[in-house]
Amino acid sequence: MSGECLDRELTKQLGSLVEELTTTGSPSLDAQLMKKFKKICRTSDLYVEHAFRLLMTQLSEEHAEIRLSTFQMMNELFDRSHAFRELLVSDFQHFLELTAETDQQHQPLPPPKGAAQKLKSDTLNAVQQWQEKFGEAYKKLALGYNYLKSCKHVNFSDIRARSLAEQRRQEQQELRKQKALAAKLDKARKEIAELQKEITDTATEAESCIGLLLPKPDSLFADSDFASGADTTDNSVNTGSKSQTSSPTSSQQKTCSSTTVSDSQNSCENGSNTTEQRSVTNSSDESSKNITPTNPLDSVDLSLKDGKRNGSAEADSIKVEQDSVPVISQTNSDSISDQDEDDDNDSDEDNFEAVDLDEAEERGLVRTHGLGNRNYNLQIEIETEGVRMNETEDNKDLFHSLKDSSCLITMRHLPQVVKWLEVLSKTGGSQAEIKSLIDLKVRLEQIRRKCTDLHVVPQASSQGEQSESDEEMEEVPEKEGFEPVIPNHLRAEYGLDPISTSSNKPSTASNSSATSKTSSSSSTSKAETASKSGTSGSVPKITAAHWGLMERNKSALVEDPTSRAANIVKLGLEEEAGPSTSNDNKPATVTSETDGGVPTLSFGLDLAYWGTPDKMEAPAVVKNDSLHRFWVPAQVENEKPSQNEMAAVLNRTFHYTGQFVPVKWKCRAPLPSGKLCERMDRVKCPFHGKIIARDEDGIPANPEDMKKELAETSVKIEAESTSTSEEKTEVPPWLDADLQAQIEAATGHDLGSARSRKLADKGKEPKGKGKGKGKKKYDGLTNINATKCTSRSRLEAKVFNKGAIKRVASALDAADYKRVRDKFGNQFNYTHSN
Amino acid sequence: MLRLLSERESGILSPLILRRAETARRNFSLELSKYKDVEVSHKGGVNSLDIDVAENRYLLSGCSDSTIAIHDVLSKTGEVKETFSQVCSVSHNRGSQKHSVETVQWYPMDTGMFTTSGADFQLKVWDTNRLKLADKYTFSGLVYSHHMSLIARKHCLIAVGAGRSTVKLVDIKSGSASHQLKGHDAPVYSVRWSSKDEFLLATGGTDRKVILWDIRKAKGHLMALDQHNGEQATNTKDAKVAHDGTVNSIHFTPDGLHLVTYGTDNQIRLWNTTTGKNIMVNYGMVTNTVKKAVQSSIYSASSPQVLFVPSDSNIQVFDLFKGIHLATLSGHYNIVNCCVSHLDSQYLFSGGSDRNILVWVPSTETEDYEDHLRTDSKDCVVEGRGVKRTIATADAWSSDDET
Repeated sequence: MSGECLDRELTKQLGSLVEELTTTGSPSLDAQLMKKFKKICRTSDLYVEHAFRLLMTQLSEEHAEIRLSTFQMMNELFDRSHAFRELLVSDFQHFLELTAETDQQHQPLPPPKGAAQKLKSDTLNAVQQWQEKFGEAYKKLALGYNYLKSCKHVNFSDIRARSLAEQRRQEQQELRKQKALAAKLDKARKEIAELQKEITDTATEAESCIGLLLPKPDSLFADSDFASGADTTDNSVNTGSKSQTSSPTSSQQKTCSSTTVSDSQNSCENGSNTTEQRSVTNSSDESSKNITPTNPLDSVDLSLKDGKRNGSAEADSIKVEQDSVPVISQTNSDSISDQDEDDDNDSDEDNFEAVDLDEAEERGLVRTHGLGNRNYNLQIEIETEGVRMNETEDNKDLFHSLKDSSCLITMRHLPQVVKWLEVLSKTGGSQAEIKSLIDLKVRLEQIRRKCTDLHVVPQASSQGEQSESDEEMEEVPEKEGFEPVIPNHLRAEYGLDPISTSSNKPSTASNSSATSKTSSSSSTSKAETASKSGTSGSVPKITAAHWGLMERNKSALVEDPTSRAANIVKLGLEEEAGPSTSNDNKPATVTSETDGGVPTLSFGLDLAYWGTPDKMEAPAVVKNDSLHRFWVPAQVENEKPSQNEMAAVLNRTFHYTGQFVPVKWKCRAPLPSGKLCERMDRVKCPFHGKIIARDEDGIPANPEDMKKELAETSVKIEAESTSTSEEKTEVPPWLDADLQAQIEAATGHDLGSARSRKLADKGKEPKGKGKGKGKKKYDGLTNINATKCTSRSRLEAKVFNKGAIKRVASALDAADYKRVRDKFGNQFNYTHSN
Repeated sequence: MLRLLSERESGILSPLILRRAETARRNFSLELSKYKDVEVSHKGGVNSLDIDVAENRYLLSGCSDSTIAIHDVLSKTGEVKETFSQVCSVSHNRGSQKHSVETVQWYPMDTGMFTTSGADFQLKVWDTNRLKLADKYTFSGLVYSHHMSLIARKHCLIAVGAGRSTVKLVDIKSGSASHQLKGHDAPVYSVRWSSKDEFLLATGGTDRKVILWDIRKAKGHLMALDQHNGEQATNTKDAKVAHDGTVNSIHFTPDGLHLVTYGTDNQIRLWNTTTGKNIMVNYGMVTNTVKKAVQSSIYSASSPQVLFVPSDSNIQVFDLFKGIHLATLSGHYNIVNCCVSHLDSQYLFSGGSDRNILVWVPSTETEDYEDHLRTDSKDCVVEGRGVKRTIATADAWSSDDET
C-alpha cells in the first residue's frame, strides 16, 4: 500500500459521502456519489476498512431506510474488494442480524416496514449471489449461507424469502379456501339437481303460455284461413251493422291488414317511425265514413307480428292502443259506425295512407268491395309504442299462469341461476354444466323480456282491488343491486311504509314511466276515453290511459271533501293527529291502515282514562285478610296507592316502534384538508354544528348561514392572535434592553441590560440552536418517530391524561371511603382510622 | 522460533520447552479453518463433543435432535483440504420422540464404549463396535451432565447431575446407583472428576455453589468453594457460593491442582483444589446466558496454558493463569455449546446450536494452504478449471469507477 496512513481530507469526504448516501431515504443509490465513494475506497484497503466501519455504524442505525441504503453500498463494495469481503465475513453474524433479521426476537428490523422487508429480501438475494460467487473462498460466508438455509429455513430457490411458518400458514389458508369452494360447488350442484327441473318446467309453461297468447307469425300466416276466420267471426257485429255482404268485408279486411303490414314494413326499413304519406285525396272528403275493425286483439296481433318479422320486436314493436286502433276513414259514403271519432284526425301522429295499386286491381277492388268510387282517403293510425295485451275472459287463465310463472322467473329462478353460474365459474365447474346453465339463463331472460314486452308483468297485491280489476300490466324495472327508488308496490317487501295512496303516482319511477307513456302519447284520446269510461258498463276493458286518468281522478277526488277517498285520507290524518296521552297511537294507526280504517287500541289505563288523563289512578290492591267468603271485616281497608305507584303509572316506558329512517345527507362542512365533512347526522354535526344546505364546495347556500360561519371563524382567529401577542409581551416593559442600556450609560450602574437582552433574544430565536449537538434532519427519510394519529393514540391521550387519572382515582377513593364509613363508621375502632 | 530451534540444536533447551513454545504459538493463532471440515451429520444443535483419550482420533458428538455421531478427525489422506468424515451415527432414542442429548463421553480406556445422557432422563452406555445399547439408567429428571473419571483405577463410577439436587454415582460394574451425594439445594448442572485424585469430585449447580466431594467420605462434602474466600462477612451459613449465578461449567486442569468454573454471572473463576481458595484471576466479563451445561476446554501442553470458553456465539481464548484475553473465535451463527481441543494437532472443535461442528486451526498452517492453493491453481490454470477460486479472492474494481 502506498500511503499506509489515511488522508484526513479523504476520510472526511468518505464519511460525508457515506452519510449523504445512506440518509437519502430513496430505495436506490445516487450513481454519481457512489462513483466518488468507490473511487476513494479504491485507492487503498485502509479506506475500505474505514468505509466498512462507517457502514457498520450506519447499518446499526434504527431506521430501515438507512440500513437499506447502507446494505446497497456494502453490496457494491463486497463485489469489488477482497478486503471488504474479509471484513464483512468476519462480522457476518452481526451483519445478518442487522439485515436479514436472524435474531427476530431480540433484534427485529426497525420501521418503516416496507423498507425493512425490501432490505431482508435483498439481503437474502445478495447472500445467495455472494455464496455462488465467493462461497468457496470465504468459509464463514458458506457457513452463514448454510445457516440461513438450514436453520432459518430460507428458501433460496424461491426468491421471496419466507419463513417456514408463513409458508405453512399460507398453505393452510389456501386449503381452507379450496375446501370452502368445494363445499359451495357441491351445494350448488345439489341445488341445480333439485331445482333445474322445476325451473325448466316453469320456463316451458311460460313459453307455452306466451305461445298461446301470441301465436308465432309463421303459424299465423301459414294458417291464414284461421286468421281470416277469426276476423270474420269477431267482426260479425260490425259486418252486421254495415249491412253488407260478409265476404267482401272480410276480404277488405284482409287487404287492409296487408296494406298495414307493408306500410309498417316500410317505416321500419326507413329506420324511423315516421310514416310515409301517400295521399290520394279527393277534394271533397268532408264527411267521412269510418270502417273500424273493432277487434283489438286482431290488430294487435298483426302489428306485433310485423314487428317480429322485421326482427325488431323489442325496439320498434308497434303499439296499437284500443282507443287508437287503425281507423279507415272512407270518404263519400254514409257513416256506418255508431261511434263517432272525428276528433281523432286533429291529433293523429301517424297517418298512413294507402293505397297505390294497379288500376285494374283497384277497379276490381272497388267492385268486389261494393264501393262506388276509388277516391278514398284511407287514414290508418298506428301508435308505435309497444304491444299491449288485454285480458279477456278467454285468456284470463293463461294470463294468470303467465303472470305467475314470470313472477317466479324474475324473482326466484333468474337470480338463482345467476348465482349458480357465479359459483360454478368461480369454483371451476365442468364446462357442460356451465353451458347448460347459461342456456337456461338465456331462456329465462328471453321469457322475461317477452313478458315485459307484452307488459305481462306480475303486480303486487298492494295495489288493492283496483289493480285486480285492472288489466294494466306495469313495467317493473330490473332488480339488480341497489335500488335507490323503491316502487310503491315493493315497499312492503323492503319493510317500508307504503306511501299514502294519494301521492302514489308521481313519486315512483315505475309508475311515472308507465303513466307518462300513456298520458303523453294519448292525450289525444282523452275525450274518447272519458266517454268510454262514462259508458264503462258497456265497455268492459279499461285501458292504460284510462288507468292513468283514474289515478288522476282519484287525486282530484281526494281534494273533493265529499268523496270517500278524501274521507279515508282524512281519517288517517286524524288518527295520526288524534288525542294522545301516550306514544302508542302509532301502532294503532298502523293497525287501522291494515284492518281497514278503524283505529284500535288494546285496553289499558290509557283507554280507561281516555278523555281525562289527569284523573288517572293507580290500580289499588285489595287485601283480603280474612280468608273467609262471607265474614269480611266491616271496613275494608282502602289502601291509598302510594306516591311511588302513581309515579310508576304516570311514567311508563313505551318503546318506539317506528321504522328507522336512514339519514340521507352529509354535513359537508369544508375541512382544513380540503375535503368535506362526511359525517351523516340527522340534525347536528358534533364538529360543525347544525347541518345546513351547502353547495358542492361546502359553502352555505343560505347567505345568513354564511355570515354566521364567517363570524365564528373570525372570532377564532382573533383568539389565536391575542394569545400570540400575549406571549410576545411576556417581557415586562421595564426590562426593555434598550431603555436599560440608556439608563446604564447615564447612571453608570449595571442594571443587567445584557441579561435582559439575552432574554429577549431567546424569546425570538428558536431554542434548538442553543446546543451545538442538535441532530441534523434528513428530509428524505421517513419519520419513524412521528406519533401516529390513530384513534388509539387520541384515546390514550385522553384516558391516560394525568388529570383524568387523578380525578378518577380520587373519585374511586371517595367511593371506597364512603363505603367503609357506611359500614364501619359506627364501630369505635374504625372511627379514627379513616 | 529460530532461536529456540538453534538452542535446541545445541542442547541448551529441553525438548519440552520447545514443544510448549510452539504449541502455544499455534494455540494463540487459531482461526476458522478454510480447508478442514467436519462432515455435517446433525439436524439440530450440537450439545456435546468429546475426543477419545486413547487414540485422539474419534470425535464423539451429541446433538439436540437425539443423534450421536462419531467422526474420524485423523487426517488420513494427508492432503491439505479435507473433510473429516463421519464414521457412524446412532439415534439416542428409539421411537418418534426426540430427546436432546446433553452429554457424551468416551470410555477413558478405549473406544469400545461410550456414555451418553440427555433429556430422556436416561444415562446410556453404548457398545461402539456394535452400536448397540449396553446398559441404561433412568433418573427422575433431565440429566444435565455426567462424567466418568479419566484416571480411576479403583472404581468405575459415573457421576450424574440429574434434575434433582442430589448427585448420583452410578457404578457400571454392578449396574446400579451406588451413591447419592446430598449438599446442593438446586439442580446440578455440572459434574467433574478430578484429573489427579480419583475420589475427588466437583459439582456445580443452579444454587451457585461449587462443592468438592471425597466420595469415600460418607458424611458429607469435602468443601464448598467460596468466591470471597471467607473474607466477606455473611450472616448465613450457606453463603459460601462460588458464583453469583448458575455454575454451568467445571473443569479441572490436567494436573488436578486447579479448578476452573464458569457461571451465568459472566465470570470465570480459578480455584486451588487443595485449599479451596479462589485464586482471584480476573478474566473479565465473559457473556454466558446458557441455561444448561456448557463444555469449556483447557489446553495444558503449552507453556501458558490456554483456556477456551464458549461465550454466546463466540469462543473466548484466555491465558489460564494470567487471565489475559488472547483471542475471540467467531464463526458460529448461534450459541456455542461446547468446544474440545485436540491434544496433538491443537485443532479446536466447537459445536453450536447452529448445527455446525467447526474446526479451528492454527493460522501457521494456513500458509501451507495458500502454497497448496498456488500450486493447485497453477495446475488448474493449465487444466483451465480452477480459475474461479483465484477470482474469488481477488479485487474486482471495475474500470468505470476510475472516473
